[in-house]
Amino acid sequence: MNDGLKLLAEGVITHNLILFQGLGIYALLRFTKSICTAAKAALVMLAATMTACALVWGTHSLIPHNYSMRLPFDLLIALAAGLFWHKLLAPVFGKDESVDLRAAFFNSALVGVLLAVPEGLPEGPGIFSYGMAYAVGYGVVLIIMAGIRARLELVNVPRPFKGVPILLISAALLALALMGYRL
Amino acid sequence: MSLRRTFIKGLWRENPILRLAIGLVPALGITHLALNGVYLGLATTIVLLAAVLVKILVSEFVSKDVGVFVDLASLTIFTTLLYRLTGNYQPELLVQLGIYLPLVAVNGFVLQRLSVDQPPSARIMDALGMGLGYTAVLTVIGIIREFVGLGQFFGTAVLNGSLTPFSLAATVPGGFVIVGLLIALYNALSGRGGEIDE
Repeated sequence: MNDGLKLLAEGVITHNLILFQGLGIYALLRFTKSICTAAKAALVMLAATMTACALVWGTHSLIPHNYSMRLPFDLLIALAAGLFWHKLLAPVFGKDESVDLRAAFFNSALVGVLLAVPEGLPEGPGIFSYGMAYAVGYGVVLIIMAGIRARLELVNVPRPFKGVPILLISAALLALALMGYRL
Repeated sequence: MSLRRTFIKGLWRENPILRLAIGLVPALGITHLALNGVYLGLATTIVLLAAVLVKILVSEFVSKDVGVFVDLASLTIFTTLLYRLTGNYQPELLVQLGIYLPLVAVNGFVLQRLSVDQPPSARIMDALGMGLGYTAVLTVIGIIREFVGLGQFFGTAVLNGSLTPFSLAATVPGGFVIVGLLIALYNALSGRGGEIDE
């Protein structure tokens, strides 16, 4: 129980994929136009990550332990998980949905989670808690940033800072707020 | 567009980081040292160029749908090769780069450039120009972060105690601020701002 909570705290706060590892920045910039879009992207990431973790768990005996040889397997697993949910969710989300599903499924955050799986974890159910913790952390940040972005629309930001710069600086402030938990 | 202009556009007018805001993961995650920026930028350029050459060679024989899988396969193969070469010749650098070197295979910038439809010669010049523009900006970000955060220039201490380094700049949140400020500066110089390109 305590290990699970510790893992969740790591994934959401102290080792957050977006804020402290710089992964999934494409999603941070493109999928935070509204809270609804961010929530869908978060859901997509959670589904794809859990599926990828299940695949890693199911195939861990086949995957080489040598880190340099793991990359093709991790990419293949991320692609398979992404394509599976793409087929399943694309009709539900509709054609003009602003979440580009392919980009949401096959992104650096998902592959990063798989590449950083601690040794020994894929052999047990701990891989699922690990995947869920990091995917939840990713989703929470996307939703918070969508809220911040909606508020920023109402503020008179200097023109050169509009768009990407103010979003990155806001993300830095959010990261700083959470950084206290890392000390 | 002439080949020369295709090459030059990636350096400034359509720079992947400053203008298109793609491939930001290494810019934030690993450029706390300038050398990391140079290496990762060059690695990304080499992988992109190799994948573009494969795409040119096979484009006549495969459909567009299959082409996506060919792109992903070639990116994976070239990234793995580069990873192993780095491990053999620069094992310390490999440790420093961590998961960010393998992530070149799913770098948004590389995937985006591969999806642009152009004649073969323009594809090569585009990959070269964009890759060099990407490398240059990663290097600049690395130099700023290393100097401000660690008081060093390519690993050599330059402040020598005259100023205390602001270590936040070497962390990912510091990277967010520095990249944000650089993009704002680019927007001010090029008279744009306010939009995020899809």
